[in-house]
Amino acid sequence: MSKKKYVWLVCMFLIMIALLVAGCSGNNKETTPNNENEKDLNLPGNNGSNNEEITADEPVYGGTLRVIVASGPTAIGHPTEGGVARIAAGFPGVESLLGLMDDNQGLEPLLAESWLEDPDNMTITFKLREGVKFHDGSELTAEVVKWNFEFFKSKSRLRYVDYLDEIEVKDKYTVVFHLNNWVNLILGEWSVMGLYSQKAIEENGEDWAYTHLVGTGPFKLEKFTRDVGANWIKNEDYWQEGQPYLDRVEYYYIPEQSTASMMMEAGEADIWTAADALNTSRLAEKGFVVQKSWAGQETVIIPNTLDPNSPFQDKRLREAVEYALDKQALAAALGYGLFEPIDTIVSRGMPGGDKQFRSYDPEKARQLLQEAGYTDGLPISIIAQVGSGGRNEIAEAVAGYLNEVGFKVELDIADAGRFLEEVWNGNWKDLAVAVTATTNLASMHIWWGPQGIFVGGLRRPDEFVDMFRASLQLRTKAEQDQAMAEMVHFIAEEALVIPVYHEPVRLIHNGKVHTDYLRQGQGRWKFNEVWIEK
Amino acid sequence: MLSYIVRRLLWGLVIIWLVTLIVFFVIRLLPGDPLLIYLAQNQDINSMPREQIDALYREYGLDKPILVQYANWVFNLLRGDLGLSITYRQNVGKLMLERLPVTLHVGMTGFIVSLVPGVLVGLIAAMRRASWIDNVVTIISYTGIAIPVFWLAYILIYVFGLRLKWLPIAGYVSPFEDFWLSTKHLIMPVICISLPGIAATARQMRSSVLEIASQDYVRTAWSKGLAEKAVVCRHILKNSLIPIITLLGMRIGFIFGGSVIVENIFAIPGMGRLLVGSIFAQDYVVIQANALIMAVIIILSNLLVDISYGWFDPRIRYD
Amino acid sequence: MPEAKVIVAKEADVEPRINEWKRFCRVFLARKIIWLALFVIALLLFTAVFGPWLAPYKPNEQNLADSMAPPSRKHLLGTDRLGIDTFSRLIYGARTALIVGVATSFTSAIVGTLLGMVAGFMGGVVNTVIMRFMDALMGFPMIVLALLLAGVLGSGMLNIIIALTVANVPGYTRLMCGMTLSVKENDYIMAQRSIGSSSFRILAKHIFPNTLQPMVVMLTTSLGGIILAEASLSFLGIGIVPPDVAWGSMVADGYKYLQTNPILSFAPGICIMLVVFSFNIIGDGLRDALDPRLRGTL
Repeated sequence: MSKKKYVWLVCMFLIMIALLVAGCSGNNKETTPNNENEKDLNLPGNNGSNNEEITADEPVYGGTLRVIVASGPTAIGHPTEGGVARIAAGFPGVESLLGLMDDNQGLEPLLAESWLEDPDNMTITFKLREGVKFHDGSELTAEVVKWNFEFFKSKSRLRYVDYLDEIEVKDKYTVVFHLNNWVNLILGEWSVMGLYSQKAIEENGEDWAYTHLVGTGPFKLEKFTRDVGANWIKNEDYWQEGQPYLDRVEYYYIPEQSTASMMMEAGEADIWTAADALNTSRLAEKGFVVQKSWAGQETVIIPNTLDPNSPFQDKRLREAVEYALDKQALAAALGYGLFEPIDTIVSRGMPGGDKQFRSYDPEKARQLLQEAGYTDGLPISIIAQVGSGGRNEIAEAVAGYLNEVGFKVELDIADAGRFLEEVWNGNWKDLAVAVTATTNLASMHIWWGPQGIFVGGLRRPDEFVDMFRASLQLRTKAEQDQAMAEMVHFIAEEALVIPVYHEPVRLIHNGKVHTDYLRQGQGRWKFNEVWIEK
Repeated sequence: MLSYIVRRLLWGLVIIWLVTLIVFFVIRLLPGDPLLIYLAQNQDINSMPREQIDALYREYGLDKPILVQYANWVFNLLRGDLGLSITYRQNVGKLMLERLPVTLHVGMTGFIVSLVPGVLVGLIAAMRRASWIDNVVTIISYTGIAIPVFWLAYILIYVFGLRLKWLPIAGYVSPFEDFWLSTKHLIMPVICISLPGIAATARQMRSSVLEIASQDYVRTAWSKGLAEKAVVCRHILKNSLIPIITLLGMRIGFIFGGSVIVENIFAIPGMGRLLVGSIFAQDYVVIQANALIMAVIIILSNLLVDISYGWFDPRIRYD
Repeated sequence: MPEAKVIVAKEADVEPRINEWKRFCRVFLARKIIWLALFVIALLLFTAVFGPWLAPYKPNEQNLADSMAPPSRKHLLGTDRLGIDTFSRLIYGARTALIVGVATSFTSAIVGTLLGMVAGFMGGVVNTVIMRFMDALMGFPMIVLALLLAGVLGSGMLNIIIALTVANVPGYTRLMCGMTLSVKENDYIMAQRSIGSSSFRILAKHIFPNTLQPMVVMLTTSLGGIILAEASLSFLGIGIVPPDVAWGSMVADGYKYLQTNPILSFAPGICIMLVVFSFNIIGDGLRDALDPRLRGTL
């Protein structure tokens, strides 16, 4: 259980990164706040999301929203500490310069009312909204933004820090980032980092910020208790007129699935963001509302292609693995109708996800194994992270299929620590079952790029690395999506990664909550717009 | 007597020193790299320059030989500094001060709750040996020991939390904040912690009473024609409590042992939950402190039990 | 049942009086519930030994099309999420339970006995070093020590056995040390020493048989605790991993299906309870029957 929690944490962190940087489309033109018409387009990314709230009736004021999440942060109001769960835990109270737009469509103004990204002069300029106040009454100014970024930098928590020359405070509400190099991932990374009150942290110290939070968001932190929960109360001075609607938000950190699901059934909470597939389908049958997102996680099998002694240097064997898997049956048995089989490393709606390379064909798999010279079977090992009850059903099921076609699988169910280390350092033997999240160029970079997560075990041919380098200079979203699709196809063609299925992120609520949280992936939650029926 | 206590205390210190050895060296064998996990969680693995990572290793003293690390740890312990948590990035002493009272609150309540029913039930079962009461009590107490705690917890939550809605399902509220709510939150975890305790105490009490009841002085008391109440209270109960004290000493350990599972299910922010989380995050600074504090408390309470023997049983002499 | 016979045979060596055996039986079998316990353990032994012939399927034979099937003639207790037959897993789990329980308790009994007897017999510095170290180990709750060790060693059957063994050794050591100390002072041991018997001879021939009774009781009772501890470790996520099947892991794994398919957790859960229950009953029965002070009164 706690192991589950931890495993979940590690996955979530990786997925969080992927989603947080999901807004890195390089619009190099000044964007205006109203892109309403774009918002309603049913774009490829928006596969099967369930957003009935958008058209629902008028919001009502008041009420308390009770949210169950799987785990809380170790610190809540500190700009850089707190671990995986920090960002999600701060959603009610913390905001960033720009916000993720719905449905993976890039960025929109939030604390900055406009921005200008100028690749030719290598600057990014943000024009701040005037009159935005932190919960302690101090004002959000360019100085405060600069202080926040200097703080991230001093703690080594700023990605692409090498690209930053200086932060210029042009006037009270204008801040300019001067770069020495431009890649299209920077804006998406930096503009969504949470901003905290300089005054509060300087006056009370960093230690204080472990349990106190001062942001600009629609809710003020009333009380945070580690491993228990957080209580938030309405920010009466919120900068968006007439918002928020709710009086209170309460977060409960409940690691046990069974406990959380019974809390939902008993009416002790309104929303649960961490239900597994089983509980999702079970509660849906009982009348709870399930909202699915376009975003999610992809379960894939990664052969170690860097290890020169690995039999999986041979492409035929990698292909044999894919031919051996009945992904449809796998997804159906494990996913309760939630999981979808995938043909590439991304889900079917994403750029590059709509092309099938190999379908279930055990006979072909056997034949490939024979051709590769393994006539009496090939002993291999599969490493996977331990799940509940010491099992990993995905790896077990995969092993079952591979044994059918002539592999002799030895399962290696590893603890989170060892799994992470082996994956990170690339010293896993043969195959690893991993959970990834690729939705756009930024997450491509994190998972599969030359510096990506599987850096030690996944072979990246020079050709592929060149494609990657080039993609980082592309400026429009259309170009970026095109480049992403090409890279996705490259990996699939070479069978460097064997895709299995996609699991959408989702939330469950009791039917009274109105939120479109999951349209922004999991990178943002517009608490100011959330309301609850009486 | 005094010299005995002093001697025992000194040995206690030696044992605690041995505990520090065990804790430190076992935990340093944990596979994986705690800093790697921490960095991974905070998504800096790619953004942090090598020097910065080296600086972190230095900050935690991980670049030094293991014996030096041990010496530093013990030296800091003596100064009352439990170290800086890797995942929490906060002083572990502070963390422990948050957690220990919670675990003690739940655990001690469970401990007390297990005591009285256990003794009473055991006594009745022994006095009415081979009757239906004895049989029922025996079966229930054996079942109580045999049932996996997490299973019991689930059934309780299902019945009292979900179906009957009498009790809140999970969470913890400090008794100083809202005593009534705090108690309501406490009921199910306490049952889970105390049921095996009740059963074990009852079982021990039963055989202990049976043993005492066969002693000559008890037979004499019966043959003198004393009332049952007098025999039971004055002779049997008092003397059969002595082995129970040993058992109680052991049960202090069970409080912490039980907390490991119960706190996770009921989402109680105590030491057990912290320990499990830290083992998975391999935050050995926290694991060390957590295990050490548990061990010190258990060793001290066992010491107390040994010393209190003499008070209950005048036949024992300290020399 | 075979267990009881072993004990009796050894005891008969020490005290060959025939009415001891009768007395033992009378006390041991007096409570009706002991028959149930003996039956359960006999069944466990039988299943563990003949498991592969009894089980209708292999414990990892999956069939995704048959996922989460309810009990039927084909699958007596239904199937789990991967379509693996629950009844077969249960049968193979009996074997694991017995292996983990027996391996752990016997290894810890052997190690504990050796350490305890050496400590008790040698006395002095040896005693101090061994016993204080055991005191330190006993400072940790068993599950915490096992959790720490399992965290270090990782999941898997062998590692779980090692972790639980280390956690169980101190109890045996303390028991044996105490027994050795008390036996050592007896006149006949003194006499052996004075005629120049070697230490080893005295330990093996005279002290060891005397310490057997309490050890057998402890062994039986701790078997239950070990099976429970394995279940707890599995629940926390450091337990026995595939391809091995264990009841503890099954309960923990089935835990999440309690509301949809309760049999997945209840079936192994009831097995654990019955076995732990039986070992405890037998252990207590043995204690009552072997303890000369109690035997007369019962």
